Amino acid sequence: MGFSVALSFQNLAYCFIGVTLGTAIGVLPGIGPLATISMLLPITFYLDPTPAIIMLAGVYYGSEYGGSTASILLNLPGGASSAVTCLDGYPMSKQGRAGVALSITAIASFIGGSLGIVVLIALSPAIVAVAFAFGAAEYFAAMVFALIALSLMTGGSPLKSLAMVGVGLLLGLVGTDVISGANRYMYGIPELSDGINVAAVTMGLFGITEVIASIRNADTGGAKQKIPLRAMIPTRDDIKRSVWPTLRGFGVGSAIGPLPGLGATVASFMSYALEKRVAKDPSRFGKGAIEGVAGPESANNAAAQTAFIPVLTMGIPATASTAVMLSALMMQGINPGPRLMTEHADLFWGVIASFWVGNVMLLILNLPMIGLWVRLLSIPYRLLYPVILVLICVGAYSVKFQLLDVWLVLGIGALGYAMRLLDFEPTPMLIGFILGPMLEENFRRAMLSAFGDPMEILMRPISGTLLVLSAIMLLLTFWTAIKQPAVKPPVLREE
Amino acid sequence: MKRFVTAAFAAIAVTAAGLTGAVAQEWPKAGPITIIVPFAPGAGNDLLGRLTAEYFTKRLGQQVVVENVAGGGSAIGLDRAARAKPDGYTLLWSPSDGMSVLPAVRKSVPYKVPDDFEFLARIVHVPFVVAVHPSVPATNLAELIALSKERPGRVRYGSSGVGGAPHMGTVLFGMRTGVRQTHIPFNGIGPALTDLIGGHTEMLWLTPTTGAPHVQAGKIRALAQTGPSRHPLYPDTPTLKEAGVNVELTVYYGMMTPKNTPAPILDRLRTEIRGMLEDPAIVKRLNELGYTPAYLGGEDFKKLVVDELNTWKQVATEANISLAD
Repeated sequence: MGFSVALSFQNLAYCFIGVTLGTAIGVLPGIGPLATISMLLPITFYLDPTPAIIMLAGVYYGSEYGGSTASILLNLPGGASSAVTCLDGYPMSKQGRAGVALSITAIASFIGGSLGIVVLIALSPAIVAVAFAFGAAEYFAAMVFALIALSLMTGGSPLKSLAMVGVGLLLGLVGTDVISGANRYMYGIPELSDGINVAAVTMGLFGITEVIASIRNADTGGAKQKIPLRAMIPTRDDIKRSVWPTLRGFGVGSAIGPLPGLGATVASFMSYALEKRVAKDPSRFGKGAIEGVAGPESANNAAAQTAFIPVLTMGIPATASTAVMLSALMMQGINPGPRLMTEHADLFWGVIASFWVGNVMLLILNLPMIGLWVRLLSIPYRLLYPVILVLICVGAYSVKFQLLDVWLVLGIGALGYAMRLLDFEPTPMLIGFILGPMLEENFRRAMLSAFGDPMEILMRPISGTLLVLSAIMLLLTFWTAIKQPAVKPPVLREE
Repeated sequence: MKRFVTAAFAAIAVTAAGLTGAVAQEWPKAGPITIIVPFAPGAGNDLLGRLTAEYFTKRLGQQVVVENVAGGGSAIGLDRAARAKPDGYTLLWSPSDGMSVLPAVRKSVPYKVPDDFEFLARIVHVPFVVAVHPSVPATNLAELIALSKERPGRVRYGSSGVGGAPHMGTVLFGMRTGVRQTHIPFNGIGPALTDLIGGHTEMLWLTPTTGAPHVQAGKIRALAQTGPSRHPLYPDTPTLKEAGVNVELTVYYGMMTPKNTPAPILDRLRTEIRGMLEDPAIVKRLNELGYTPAYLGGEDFKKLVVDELNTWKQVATEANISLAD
């Protein structure tokens, strides 16, 4: 019955607009789904609720498809959740295997997304129960787990990684403390009260830095590559290597997606870490391992779909983008919540059915028509990068309409370039920045909830298990580090 | 967006021209009117600003646009409005948070209440619902108070944030009933509600529409509501006063302009606001959204703002709540 809604001409049209726009802004670095959805929000006043949500959702999951294109071709993520795709997508591209990387990305995205929808339909009630069982203690434990898992994932010097996690944590402290209401490190700038804008940090660290770095590169890189359809056909080996990562990525993505605050970015990072862990030869990662493309891309799309579980069933957003979509619903006078499924059944199932329709459209947009999007990036760097710079600045500004964020993105970009010159990894910094405040907030909330008894956090089954797992993970790492004091080869930069 | 930018430039050009006496006669012909909404686009109350902008555009024959100036718990938007030119081209849409609560709990805010503003009118107000998790052994307010007294500090309540209206309301409730409860602050009402539904906190004050689906689904239990009369979504839930607690609290939403906006402009805007609240389509929409239309014009509105500010100042002093800068 959902398909009769989703397949009406009007809804098909809005779905198409949504996913096409989503792919485009996904491909273009600097401008993300959140900024786009916010900008589209006023338009949705003039639409019925169903096409409005179908379109906004299309932008959201469509951007997950497009995001990897720039990662693979330019080493410049189209969005935060595609950052990890750079690690192996770009090396593949440099080996002349960009076409394969793109097609595997599209297929893995489609599989991850489609299976994510199955989960969305089948497991909604069960996953809602898990999400409710998560209190502050459980969130704290999950953050500890994620922080350790994520910082172990990044390569390079562990000491430098730790230092960068620290810098990220410090940046994350800026703003009003949620628990006490005190302003921290704001230096009298009221615009900082909600903290440093995540978009500014991401775009600065990954976008601006890349643009500055590329000024030194005379060649125009992968962007000029023509991707004929034939180059996109993966080998039997590619397919064989991608099957399990895709399925595991889907597993990680659909587990992470519904948890508020984690979302597609964390899912893609976790999937990458997992693939590296389970690989027979982890040293292939970072040098064009197809598993490192298939897994994360499947994961972020699965997460993008399953992020709708708490939104559609409880009216609780899991990500900033879904929060904006939620408000689009409320503006239409529809109160999202457990009753949505029964009282607005046509909307509920129509939107879900449209996800499937949208994923099919995206597969078509991103497989046979990938050339179109690549051409978007085939503009010479000297023309493309100024445009990207502008888009980054507009993107940073449009999140909260404050000029400060533009200065922040530029400043953080300069910092990112300095870090790059000194061989400091930006990813641990981003991880510290995003997870640090969540960790602190939930720890203090858990302590308040436990009336000051830290044992309480350890005694709860979910949080206890997660903390023990974290400790084991940490110990194992130390153990391997001590057992094999491997001489690290000097990190070679492409310059 | 393009039109917005053009509009913004036009607005700057107009204000730069420095129109003074002629302003009131010319108004609103000289350019678009901006309503500052001190929240991010899409945040709950943003919609109210947009509904008003839509209605004003039709009625004033002039483009009325919403500008979202978010941050600082609405202080940034209010400050922007306070410092805008009082020419009737910058209006402010504000809930009580920034006007009556924030100046009471923060050591300093950049604007002065009521001196920096002209008060157009209160437009709607909305009460809070006092909800508990179903596992809490209290089926009415008296039992909840008894439980809190029996186990001092062991009843935990969530809130949308430190020093926000729900937090302050709960503190006031505790003072008037003589109970001590533990505050667990969250960043917004969404996560606080999840925690309540999950049974990680015992109590939460939340807006009627946010709570209604969960109350009906039996996930949370409404024990009382804080308005002067019962909200249509909760016909069977007693108000605090009915339940014998002398607390009455609603969040108001109203419009202001910068101080010294010419009186004829204020009068015209008040007429339009009154007209808006008589428009059946708009009233229906407001009711659907859970807001109760409650026009309160000029001086009366100002008095309400100041009275509430004084109440919160007193509560903040007594409970020793002061957010440092």
